[in-house]
Amino acid sequence: MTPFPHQHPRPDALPADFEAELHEADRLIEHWAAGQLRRADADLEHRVMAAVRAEIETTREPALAGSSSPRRAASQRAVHPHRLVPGGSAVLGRIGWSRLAAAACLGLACTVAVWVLRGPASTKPLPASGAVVVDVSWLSDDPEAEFDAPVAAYFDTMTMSLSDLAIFDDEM
Amino acid sequence: MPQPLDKEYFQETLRRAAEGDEEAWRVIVDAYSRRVFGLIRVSCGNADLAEEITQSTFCTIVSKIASYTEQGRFESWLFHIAMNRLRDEMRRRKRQATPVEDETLTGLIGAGATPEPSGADPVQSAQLQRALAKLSDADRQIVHLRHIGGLSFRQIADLLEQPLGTVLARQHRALKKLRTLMEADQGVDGDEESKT
Repeated sequence: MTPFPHQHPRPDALPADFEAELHEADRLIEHWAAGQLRRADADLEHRVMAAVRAEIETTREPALAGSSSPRRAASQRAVHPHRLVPGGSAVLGRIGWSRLAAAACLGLACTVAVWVLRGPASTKPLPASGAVVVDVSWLSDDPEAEFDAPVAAYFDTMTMSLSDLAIFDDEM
Repeated sequence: MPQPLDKEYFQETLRRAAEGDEEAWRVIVDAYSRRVFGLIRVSCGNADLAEEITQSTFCTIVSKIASYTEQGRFESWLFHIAMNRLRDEMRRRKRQATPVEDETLTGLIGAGATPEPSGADPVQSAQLQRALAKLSDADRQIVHLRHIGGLSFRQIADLLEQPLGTVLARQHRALKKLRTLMEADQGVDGDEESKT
């Protein structure tokens, strides 16, 4: 296989005006970094390539939708790569937000319907004729009777004193 | 110095990759997966997480390469996605984690880089790892991007969206601090040895 031209890169050299001791520290880091790169698992590329292959098949799926080719069947069996998606989100994604929203709307509509049908009398609609009957039998015929009654009692008994008359003058 | 890029070969590989050519993808994966993995692992100290992020990064590249126009920034783009993945994952874990002391975290970063391959001076290597762990995140990032990611100063500037001069100044500061930390560490080691 043709290696990429920059498969084993060496970092840019430090600018010449950096102190000699910094160049020495840089060489030390370079040696350490080379060791770190060698420490990677030998099968790393194979596992990454498997994930890439699965992703390629996934991106091809829309184009293959509706067909029943062996390629599509193979893509459906493909191993999916690691994903950094929490389990809860994955479940929600599978069920679908739209279905959840539709179920919530249906539930709300049913609740409102039951409440309207079985709710208190005050929520019932007015008669279609538009005539409204209001019970006013508790009202007195004379609106001032309640206030005049004590005065009438005084006159009936004739026991009103001068001080009582003074109180009435204040109130008048 | 980085070897000169064969631009035509590179563009042709990317074009074939965008068409879903597995051989082209194999070339890209062979060229970059180890560098992405290495960069993420030394940044987080967790090989499993590093591999997960590496796979996720390449999957993102697969899904977006059709809309990518090569202008000499493929490596910056690739490492930018990888670093974003790592940042998001660390944020997510931080939200879920219980707080720990900074010294514990510093110890974990150092632990992620051990043991040393054969041929290296183990004492000097340990000093270097301890010094790297004590650098600020920004300074350590420059060192990692340059030496593990294999990016040029210009690519680092592109990735971090900073002027080239700023990147060079940060590199200078990081190396100077690293040197000072290693010298101080050497002094401590010398004192401990003389006591025993």
